[in-house]
Amino acid sequence: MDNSVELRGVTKRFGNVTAADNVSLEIRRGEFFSLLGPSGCGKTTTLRLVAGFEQPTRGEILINNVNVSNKRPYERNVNTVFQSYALFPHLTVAGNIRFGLERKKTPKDQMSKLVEEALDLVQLNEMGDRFPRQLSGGQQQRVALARALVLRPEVLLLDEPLGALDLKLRKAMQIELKSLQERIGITFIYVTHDQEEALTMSDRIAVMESGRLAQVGTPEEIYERPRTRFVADFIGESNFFSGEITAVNENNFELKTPGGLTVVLPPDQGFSVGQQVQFSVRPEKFRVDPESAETDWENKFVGEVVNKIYLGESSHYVIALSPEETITVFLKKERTGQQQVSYSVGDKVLVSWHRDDSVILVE
Amino acid sequence: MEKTGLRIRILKFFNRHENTRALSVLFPCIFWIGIFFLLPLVLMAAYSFLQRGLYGGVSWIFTWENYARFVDPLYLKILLRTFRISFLTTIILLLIGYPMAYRIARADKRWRNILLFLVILPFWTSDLIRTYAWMLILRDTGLLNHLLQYLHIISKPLTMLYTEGAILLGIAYVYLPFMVLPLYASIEKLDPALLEAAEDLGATPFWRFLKVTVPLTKSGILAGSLLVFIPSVGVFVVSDLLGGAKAMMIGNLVQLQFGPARNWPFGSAASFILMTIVLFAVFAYLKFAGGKEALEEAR
Repeated sequence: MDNSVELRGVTKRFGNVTAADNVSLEIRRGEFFSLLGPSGCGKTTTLRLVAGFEQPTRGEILINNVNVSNKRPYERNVNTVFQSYALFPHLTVAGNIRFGLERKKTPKDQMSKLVEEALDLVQLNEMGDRFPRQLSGGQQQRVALARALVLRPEVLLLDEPLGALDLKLRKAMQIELKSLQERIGITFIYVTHDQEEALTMSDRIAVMESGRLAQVGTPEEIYERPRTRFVADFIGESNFFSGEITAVNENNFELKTPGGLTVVLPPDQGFSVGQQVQFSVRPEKFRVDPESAETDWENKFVGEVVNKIYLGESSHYVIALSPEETITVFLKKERTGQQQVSYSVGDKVLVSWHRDDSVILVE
Repeated sequence: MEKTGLRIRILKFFNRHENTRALSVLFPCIFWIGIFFLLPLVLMAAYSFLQRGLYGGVSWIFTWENYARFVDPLYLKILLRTFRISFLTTIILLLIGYPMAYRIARADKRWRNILLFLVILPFWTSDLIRTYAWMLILRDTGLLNHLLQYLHIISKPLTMLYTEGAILLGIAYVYLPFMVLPLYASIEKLDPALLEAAEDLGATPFWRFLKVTVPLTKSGILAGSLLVFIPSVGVFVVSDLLGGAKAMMIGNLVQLQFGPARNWPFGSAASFILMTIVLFAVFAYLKFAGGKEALEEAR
């Protein structure tokens, strides 16, 4: 019952476009929750529904266990950090932060203290008298954050807040945001299309695809156990296989691919012989050994190196296992002293992976 | 080849003489303003200190008389009425024009152009004709009185024409586009995200308007007000037709002096008094309303 935000079958249509389709979510108090997906997947619409900028076509939105579906934004105890920051250009930094406090009729003496604290929180102590346009992008972002947080909302909504920053600053801000969230303990709902950002910062992630929830889970669950091909493809890289079940054994399944590989799958689900199944394997889960080597993993196939990309800390190999199946493999560099094996295009190699690293996809 | 060589030489000359180049570009403008604005202004300034000639024109004898005449309550009243009408017109147009401009700026792209077109459509006919139309509507036997009598709202005609109210209406009608267009331009630039941010931070629509919309569209409010106020002070056609002799404005006085009365010096003096007051009024307005912004801009 300790949910900050709850969505019950929320649908939002714009004309005949369904931006959010029957979305049900429970976001716990103090959680860093991300809505992840490509542009147009409905993540921003979902956020705007929680903020109150849009009213749901169907379904209910609860904040702090109270139905707020028909409440205006100024009646909800949530605040938003906008993608464009939306700082008021005619007000100073302090003026921007004061804006919400004034509307809440905060006493004057308390107000200046709260503004100070908010500036302190985002390390902009000396910037109170500046105007937004005199600040860098990163500083503006902090002002937007301070302006929202000073009101102590039940939930803070962030709409791709780091999208406009350069890579280095973005990385730094990710860490800062995460530690800030942990420190103040406010629920964050964070919209992003950057899977790496979602993985590093979130307690839980909801992956969205064309208005629907594709999967909700911890970063590890999402990465290690993607439920659908879309999730496996969107988060990180994946090698996809499909084939027909040829044998049902006591503790595994056997599957034959169109290219003639016989793959052993974990006994996750009940399959019957003849069924078509899809699964994926992450590129870093493979082992690559010289052709003559031995391996105790059940899935082992001889393939030919088709392409190699050197990336410094790792190398990416494209290996053909059969005329039908070509995979991408990431190999980390070993430390000096350990056996260093490098392969060239045209080499025959033994590729193997553990049964449990095959993730069966539902669609 | 010959021509190209000449071109290069001209270009080189201008490159060496930056100021000459700037002047050559500005010349038509300077020429225009000099001949058609500054020169007449200087002439009028001179006339305003001269005596009226026996048969019109001026006789070259210096006098303060033309300015001194304005102390007369008759003229002071005209002056006061002029500024009252202009001020009220500006306020009324702000109140009508702002919601109008807002709706247009927030309308569908398709509708926006149609609505803007409708705003400037009245410009296609002369304001003289449009003012005559108002006479037909407002006079005792006019459309409006007929309609009100027909509906039994009134029993005998209301006097609407030749009142200050009629002038107010006429000026407001003529100058509406001058208010709406600059307001539209500034409202259209207003980022909708800022309005959402205001609501998000707890501002009701009223506070949102007061604390975000108005300050951020101030440039439009300033421009629109000035574009309406300044010309409406000098109005004479509208006030002549709709105000008659009962509600004379200073524009009518100036026109009268330069026309039928043939008193150019007094007309010039009236013009200069008007100009001076308008200048001070505009200056004070900008300082009062635009001060903070100007200050901000200077930083």
